[in-house]
Amino acid sequence: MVAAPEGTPMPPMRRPTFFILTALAEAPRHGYGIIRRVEELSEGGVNLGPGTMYGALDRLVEQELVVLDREEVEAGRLRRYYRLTPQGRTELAAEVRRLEQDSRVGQSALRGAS
Amino acid sequence: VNRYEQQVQRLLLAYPAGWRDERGEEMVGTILDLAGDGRRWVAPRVALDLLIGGWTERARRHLRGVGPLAAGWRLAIGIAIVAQLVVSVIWLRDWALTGTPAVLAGTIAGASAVTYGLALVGFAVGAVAWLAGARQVARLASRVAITAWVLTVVVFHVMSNPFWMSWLEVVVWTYLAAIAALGMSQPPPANRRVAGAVTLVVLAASQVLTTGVVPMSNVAFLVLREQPFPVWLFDRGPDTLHTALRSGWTLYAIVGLALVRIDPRHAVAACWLFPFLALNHLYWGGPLGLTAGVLAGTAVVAWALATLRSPTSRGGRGRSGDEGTPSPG
Repeated sequence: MVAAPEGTPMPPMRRPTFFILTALAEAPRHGYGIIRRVEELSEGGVNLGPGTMYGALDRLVEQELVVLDREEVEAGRLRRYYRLTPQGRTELAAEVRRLEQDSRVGQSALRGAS
Repeated sequence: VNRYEQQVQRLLLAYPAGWRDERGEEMVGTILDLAGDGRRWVAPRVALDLLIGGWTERARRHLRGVGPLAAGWRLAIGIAIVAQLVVSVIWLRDWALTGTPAVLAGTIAGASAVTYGLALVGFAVGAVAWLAGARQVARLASRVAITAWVLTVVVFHVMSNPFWMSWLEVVVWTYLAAIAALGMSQPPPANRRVAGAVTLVVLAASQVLTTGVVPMSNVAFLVLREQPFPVWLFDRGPDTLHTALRSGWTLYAIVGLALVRIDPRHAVAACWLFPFLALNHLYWGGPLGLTAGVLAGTAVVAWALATLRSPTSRGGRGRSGDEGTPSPG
């Protein structure tokens, strides 16, 4: 799978994808770090299993939104750190703008109805 | 390596070997971190997540480099095979509960049940082999399955009352629904959907009035993008011999799909059915009423219009190519 051709609007991101990119926008993280940070950022709303998380990560790497940052061995365990690419940052910013716009529309409708 | 890690290693067998070589160690570390100390058994949620993740990765690797439409077809076939197996288990259970094996023993219907069973086994073996990447085995098993399926259909042609036919139809329609749903990369524009929906209603009304049969395959034709004629052969062969259609739920599924993703080019293919249906109806001694004739005529007009509107359409086999755009995440 590759990223959408230039000029093609990306469809809305799924929630786990959004939170993974958000977690990596803060700092490079390894798999365990991503899962825990996503849980915190979503206030427990998104609990990623390891299979789901690595599946999403593989897709994001293929789409060139995320890239391997470095490898470390901690307490005998291999840890790979991932970081956001400039393209990933752009896509995340676009998604944030889309969510903001949707939120404004909803708020406006609620104000009008009250 | 403790017991917990051994369990994790076994669960990771769901992933392709290449993936395990590349990511296995990293994944094990993450899972051990998540589990914390003292845990002896992998939580069911984590186990299920790994199994689904592993098989998804296998499917993803299998479909890599394939266009979205072709990938859709392959996925459709995989899902249809699973659906077929589920339906077949239900059918076999009913068959056993009603004592049908004893009734069928030594009869031609029994022969068809055996060939059908062989087809199911062939599909099952082929599906597992396909998922495991053993292409030669998958190809061989599929050939056995298709041959057994054709034999089943041939046997039906000499049977007077294939009473277990309804489950077979469910299977066929499940295939069609799955292929229709997944074989497409994108829904067509709204104007085509409206034109297609009108054609669908006309065809459906016409066929119900003509033969009293719900037009399963016509509906499927309208939503299929490619190769409608082989599908017609596949579906229509048994259907023309059996009109007591009892599996209405599949109609709702297919009609729903048709309304969402309809394409008038397939009206061209669907209209091919009318001469066959008329012949079939006359063969069974039914009259062709005026209303049915008018509606059938309308369907032919829709056919002509669809042909005119679709420059790529050639006798109902127009192709629109891959138009889909992969989505992120």
